[in-house]
Parts: sequence; C-alpha cells; structure tokens
Amino acid sequence: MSDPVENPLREGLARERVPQPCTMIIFGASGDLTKRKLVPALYSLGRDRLLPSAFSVIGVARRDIGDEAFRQSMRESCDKFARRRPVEEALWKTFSDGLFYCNGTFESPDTYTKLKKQLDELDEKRGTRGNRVFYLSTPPNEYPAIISMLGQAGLINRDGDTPFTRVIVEKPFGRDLQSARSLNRTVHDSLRENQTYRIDHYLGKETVQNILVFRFANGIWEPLWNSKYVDHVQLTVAEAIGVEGRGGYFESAGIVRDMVQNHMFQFFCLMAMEPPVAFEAEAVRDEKLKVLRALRLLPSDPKLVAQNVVRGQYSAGAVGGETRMSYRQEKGVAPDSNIETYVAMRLFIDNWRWAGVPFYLRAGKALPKRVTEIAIHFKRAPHAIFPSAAAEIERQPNVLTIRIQPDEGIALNFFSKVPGPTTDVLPVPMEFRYGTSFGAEPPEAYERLLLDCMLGDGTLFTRGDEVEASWTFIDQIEKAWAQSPPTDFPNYASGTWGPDAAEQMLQRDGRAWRRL
Amino acid sequence: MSEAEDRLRLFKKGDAIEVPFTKVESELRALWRHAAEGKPGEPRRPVTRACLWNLIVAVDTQALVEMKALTDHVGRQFPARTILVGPIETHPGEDEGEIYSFVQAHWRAGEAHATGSEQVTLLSTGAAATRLPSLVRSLLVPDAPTAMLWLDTPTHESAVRELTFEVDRLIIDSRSLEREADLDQYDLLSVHSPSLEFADLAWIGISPMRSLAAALFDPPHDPAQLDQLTRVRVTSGIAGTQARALLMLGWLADRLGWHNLRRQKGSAIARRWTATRRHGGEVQVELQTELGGASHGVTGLLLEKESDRWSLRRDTGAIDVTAPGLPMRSQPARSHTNAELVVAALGARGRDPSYREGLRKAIEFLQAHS
Ligand SMILES: NC(=O)c1ccc[n+]([C@@H]2O[C@H](COP(=O)([O-])OP(=O)(O)OC[C@H]3O[C@@H](n4cnc5c(N)ncnc54)[C@H](OP(=O)(O)O)[C@@H]3O)[C@@H](O)[C@H]2O)c1
Repeated sequence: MSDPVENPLREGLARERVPQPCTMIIFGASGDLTKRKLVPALYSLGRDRLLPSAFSVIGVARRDIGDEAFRQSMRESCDKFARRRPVEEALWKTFSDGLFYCNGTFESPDTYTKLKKQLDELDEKRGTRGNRVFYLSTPPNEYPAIISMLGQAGLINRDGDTPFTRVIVEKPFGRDLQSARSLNRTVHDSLRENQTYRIDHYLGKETVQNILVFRFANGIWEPLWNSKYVDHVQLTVAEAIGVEGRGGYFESAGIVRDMVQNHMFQFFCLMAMEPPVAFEAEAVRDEKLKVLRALRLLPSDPKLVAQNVVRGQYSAGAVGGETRMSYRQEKGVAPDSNIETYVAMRLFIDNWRWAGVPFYLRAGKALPKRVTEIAIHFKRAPHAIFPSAAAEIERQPNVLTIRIQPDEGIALNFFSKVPGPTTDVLPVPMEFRYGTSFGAEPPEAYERLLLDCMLGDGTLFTRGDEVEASWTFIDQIEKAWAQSPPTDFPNYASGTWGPDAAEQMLQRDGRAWRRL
Repeated sequence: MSEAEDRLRLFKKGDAIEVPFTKVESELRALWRHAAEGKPGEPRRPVTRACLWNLIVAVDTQALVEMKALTDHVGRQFPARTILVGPIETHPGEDEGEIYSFVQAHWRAGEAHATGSEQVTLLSTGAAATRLPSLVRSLLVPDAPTAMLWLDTPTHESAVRELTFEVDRLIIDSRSLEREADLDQYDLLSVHSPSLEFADLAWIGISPMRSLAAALFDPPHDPAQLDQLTRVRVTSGIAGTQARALLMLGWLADRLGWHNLRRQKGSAIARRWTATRRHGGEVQVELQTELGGASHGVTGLLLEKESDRWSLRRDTGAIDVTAPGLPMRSQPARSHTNAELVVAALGARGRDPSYREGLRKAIEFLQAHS
C-alpha cells in the first residue's frame, strides 16, 4: 500500500492533533462521572476545535429516557462543569445534535443489538465511518459482561484499525492480583492490548506529564537523579476531605487500593524510571513496568511489614477550622471498620540507579490540607566548611519539589548567605509556578485522555502487565494486614498529619516527613 | 509619608514612578526589595519577580495611551519585562532632546504570595530617540528571549528599526497597514533577518479559520482533492486594507503550490486571479468583500472541486462548516482583542514557519499582472 498523502494545510498547525471521525459510546451515561467529567470534557474539546469533523456520542444506561432528556441533562452538566462556562449556544447546537441515548441493561443482549443498529445508522447519517470508542464508566463488576457482550455482538473490530475499536476502562482495574488477571483475560479474549485504554486520570494532569519533560528535556537533572546524590524521596498525596458520602465504596477499597495502587504508583514510576527511548506508548510503559518489577518485596512476617508500611484511620477532629466526624461515623461505613484511610510506606527499588535509596510514600484523607507532591532530598555537601551554619544545613538539605496540586510547579531549595558580617545561611527557594509562568489555562485531565484515546495514543494509559505488577506488590500488604488486623484504629485525629507510627518509621532512619 | 514610602506605595499599586533613565535597574531593584519587606514588626512577604520574555514595545506618540493600556493588560497576563519606547520617529535637525523614564509593576492577583513583572517606559523628545536603542539594549534581562511589538509600518526612518535585527521575535500587525503594498516592508525585514520569527496578529487572527480549513482534509478525508480545486473564494467582512484575506490566499497558494498567478478582470469588491495548480490545471481565485455581516478580515472560505464544495462561513458568534458527506456544524468564534492576540503571539502560535511563505505569496497576488 502506498503511503497516505499528507495534508498540506497542516504545516504549522500540526500541533493541533485532530482525531478521525468516530462515535464514543459511554456505558453508564446517567452516572456521576459522565456528568461531571466525560461529557463536559468532550464539549471543551469541541470548543477548542479538537473533536473530529464527524463525531457522535451514544450514552447507554438503564433508565428509560430519550435523546432529548439526555441532551438536556448533559446541557445542565456542561453548564455546571465544563472548563469554559456557560455553554455557548452555537457550539451546543452542533455538539448536542451528535448526542444520543440508548437504554438497556448491560447484561441483556438486546441492548447490544439495539446499540449496533443505532451505530450503523449514525455511521451512515453522520459520517463516523465505523470508528468507535467505548467508555466503561460503570460499576467495575459490569466490565467483564460489557466487554464480552461487545465481542459477541460483533461490535469490536479486532483486526486492524480501519475501522478502529478502542475501549476505555475506568478504575479500579481489579481489587487484587487475581481479579486484575481475570479481568485482563476477559479483555484479551475480545480485544488486542493496544485497543485497551486503562484510564488513570492522574496521568492526564499537566504536572504529572511535566515530570517527564522536566527529567528528560533538561540535561542537568539526570546526572543527579540516582543513589549517588539522592538521599531519599518523599511522595505525598494528602487530601483534606474525608470519604464525602462514598463510604460504601471506600469500605470495599481503602486508601491503598483507591490511591496508591494506581495514581501514586504511576507518578512514582515516572519519577523513578529510566529514560525511555521515545515518548511513545510502549517505550514509556516498558520503563514504568521495570520500576514496578524492581520493587523490593516485603518480608512475609506481618510484624516486619509493619516496619515498612503504616496504616491509619481518622477519628473526629477539625480540618481547616471545620469539625469533621470520624471515619467510622461516615455514611455507609461499619462502626467497627478496619479500613485504612491513611498509609505510609518505605519502598526500595532494587536496581543500579536507586540501590539503597528509600522512597517514602504517604497518602491519607482528613489531613490538614490538600497537597500532592514529590520531594527529592539530596545528600548534604560532603564536608562542612561553615561551622556556624552546620546546624541549619544539617536540618534542611537541598530539596527539589515537584508539586502536582495545588500551586502546580517546581521548587529547588538551596542555601544562601544571609546578608551581614557573619556566615549565617538560610535555605531559599527557586521557584517555577505554572500559574504565573503560563497564562493559558490547562485542559482538564479527562480532555487530554479522551483526545489521546481517539487519536490512538496509549502513552498516558496503563498497560495490563503494569497493572498486574502493581497489584503483585499491593497484594503483599493486603495479605499481611488481613493476617493482623489493626488494634489501634482510629489512630489519628482528622486535621493532623497521620499516625505517630508514620513519624517513627522515618525517625528510625534518621529522617522526618516534610511539614507541608 | 516620606518620598520613598510614597514611591513604594505607588509601586505596590502598580502605578508608574518616574526615575532617571540612568538608574532604571537600580531603582527597580530597590523597589522590589522594599516590596518584599513587610510593615515594621510584620514578617517578610515573599515576592516573586517573574520574566519569561523581554518585550520591547515601539510606539508612536499618538498611540501611546492606547499602547500603554495594551501593555498593562499583557503584563498582567504574561510575565515579561516590558520596555515601552516612544516616540520612535526622528526628524533631521531636531534639538538634542531628553529621555524620560518610568517604572511600574504588573501584579498578579489571587495568589498566596505576590508575583509581579515589570514595565519600563522610555519617552524621548527631539533627537534623543536615536539613543533609545542603546538604552533598551542595556535593560534587557539576560537569558530571556526578546520579542518586539511594532504595530506600525516598519519604516526606515524609525530609530528602533535597528533593534529588529537583534530580537528573537517580531510581533507585527498587518491589519494596521495603510496600504496593502506595505506588506512587502515585512518581506524586506524577513529577507534581512532570516532567523527572525514573525508573529503577525493578522495571521494569528485567521488561525481558527486556517485550522478549520485544514481539518476538512485530515484523514480519512483525501487531501489529494486539494490539488484538484477549481475555484477558491475568500470573503472579507471589512473595508480597506485586506491583509487577512490576502494572507489567507497567500497561505493556500503556498501550501497548495499554486504558481503563475495572473490577475483577471474583477472589481474593487471582487478581485480575481487565475493560478496554475501544483500538478497542472487552473484554479480560479477570488477575494470578495461583503460588508454587513461579521466585521472580520476573513468571513468566508469556499473551496470547489467540480460539484464538491467545502465552505466556512463566519457570522458574529460562530463559524459554520460544511463539507461533502458531513453534517453541517458550527464552531464558536469570537473576535480577539489586541491584547489577547499579543499574548498568543508570545506563545507557541507566534512561531509559525509557514508565515513567511504565506506572506510572500500574498505579495505575489498583489503584484500579479494580467
Ligand atoms: N465519579 C467519579 O468521580 C469517578 C472518579 C474516578 C473513577 N470513577 C469510576 O467510574 C465508574 C463510574 O462511576 P460513577 O460514579 O459515574 O458511577 P455511578 O454514578 O454509580 O453510575 C453508574 C452508571 O452505570 C449505570 N448502570 C449500573 N448498572 C447498570 C446495569 N446493570 N445496566 C445498565 N446500566 C447500569 C447506571 O445507570 P442507571 O442510573 O440508569 O441505573 C449509571 O449510569 C466507576 O467504575 C468508578 O469507580 C468514578
């Protein structure tokens, strides 16, 4: 086959990647995620001229509403949640002309027969050419049924990409290694791996992608990015909120499954991985996988696990001046629940680059503030020549902080002489802030990810083997915890930085958590 | 209140303060230092001085107030050291004249700690304008790229013309040209500085139209159809200089390899040409003026290949897009202020490699013979 002719008008405009005509089918179209994120993100893409020239959306859910009611409800969500509000009439008209609804249960073959008919008609009427992106925004127990039914109904083109079929699967992808493996098997029965887009919306955040740019577009950091210069690394995902009415869901998950296995491990991998040969899906994901595979396994004795992994649950307290009930009082939570709302862990990556460097991770709810960051603590200068400043230098080494939210940016702390006749020193920050350096408003994470999937770019999605590797590690923790239930829950007050044991874990290493 | 306190108060408010032109840097340093000091007894307040660009703004006396408002707006949006210089014209035989200078901060609100960037205004009288370039040079922040905003016709008489050879990006506005023929002034500049990046606000203004046109031929649509176009019409919704419409035609002609442009009989509101297509055959080209609708330099684009038609039509709030075999759709469109266009020109949009060639072809249309 000869190469397709390039579009000569694209030169100079090439940055704007516009996908091929397609239909996006959202399973779970009356759900919270569709309303708050998915459809507003699609509308915003349309506003930025990034949707394909021919594009439709079919929402699938149980309740019996028609196209018009669906459009009306999506209009309300876009007015409330789209990045640029309120919605613009002219665009809404075009966008909503392409919104359709298909009601039915996910378990019934009739739903898929109806859907297929509707899709074929739309391809004909709207020029979408059989290209389809299926988005599974449903309770996770529905994923296997939907994927199998799509296959059985002949809605998946497994061979080649004309027309293309892609499936986006929401988190959680499994709740342990066994269920993740089983889900991967179901997926691979119907789809090729490169048709499968496991979404982790953290990867859609600008600052998370900037970790790669910061590391690999600059020549100055890589020489320092290893055990020779790095003393330790701290990763924090602190949330000020509690479970916010999602108690029922949280009871079946806990913070490790909800936050660490997916989001936190993702940016941990980006921070620690080797340079990929290219910024493309397989190369980046190969390197992330190597990090997960090099994670040192935990000891099998639960007591020894406790020295490396600390769990916590919040009691009543106050966050930001507002009183907060304890986790066990939240709606949907058992009064004697042992589910963790906080975790701190000490990890090692057994490879050449990171030998002996501890990575301390902590994630928690009802902490004093919302902060997500990576802090790289560098080793001290090998010889102290400023005796009067020795204590200060000892207390605060050079730290490079990559702040993911809020106040997105990067700061480097170094010592500077305090003006005056003495050699007193003080740490000073050198800062880059997204908000002040770039006037442009960054797109929402879901906008970037939906666009990438339509374009067939899986770089910012997780691969099946990555998910299994992270569950392999997480399973050890869950197993040890199941063997020795906590005896001290709740063990930290809302509005504090977590249980004492988390502080002690670092103190034993002669270190301390950053005060944020 | 002491004079120093009064100056600091003005600085914190973002107002301009007069300083001797030999002391611009030292005064700014002192003001930033004091701005970071809290009131006596209060802790120091962190203040960040941000700068991604040096932005030289060349101004005529008449436009001074207007340009000041524009740079104030840009300064708040985009961290740059803005150096406003004017008037830039010199006249032989003038007296030695004076340079007056002012400094001010552009503060960004709504942050936990204050971030500001700075503006220096340099005004000259008489022949002192000739000394402005050397002063500007001394005030550039090292290691930050330099852009120059020059919205008037870049005449040879201007004292700041020499700076165009030293900056990284020249921001111009061909919409403000009095005569279409002056487009070749930019071409002359571009010949003299091959590495200079041109960011023409007119070009940035038509980029939504250009990208919508390009999207019509993205896969799976066959771009080879572009080589078989038989008729192309660009419509303008304004009277006077048709820089945007000409650039749109220039862009199409360059990207589609049209050559041998010949002028055809037309009228002032419907100019016509014939061109030879890249792989042979003729295309009829038309620039039409149609007032009364959206007041924009390009309100329509029509591409025809036998019975197939692709069209973009802009009204006040949207661009309607039609193409063979696709449902009609509307894309919102609005007019952008100069300040918004300048902010865009300082970003990635200000670096468009296809501009120079598009400009050259636009000039070819103007100079074509029958
Ligand atoms: N919400 C968030 O912010 C968020 C964030 C990250 C990830 N997620 C993940 O995204 C997925 C969706 O979350 P959500 O909060 O949107 O869930 P949700 O509000 O509970 O919505 C579930 C949707 O699935 C439909 N549904 C459920 N069972 C069905 C069945 N048997 N047949 C047909 N339709 C059925 C429901 O339709 P009816 O209403 O018509 O019954 C509803 O549209 C979950 O996997 C969640 O873990 C959500």
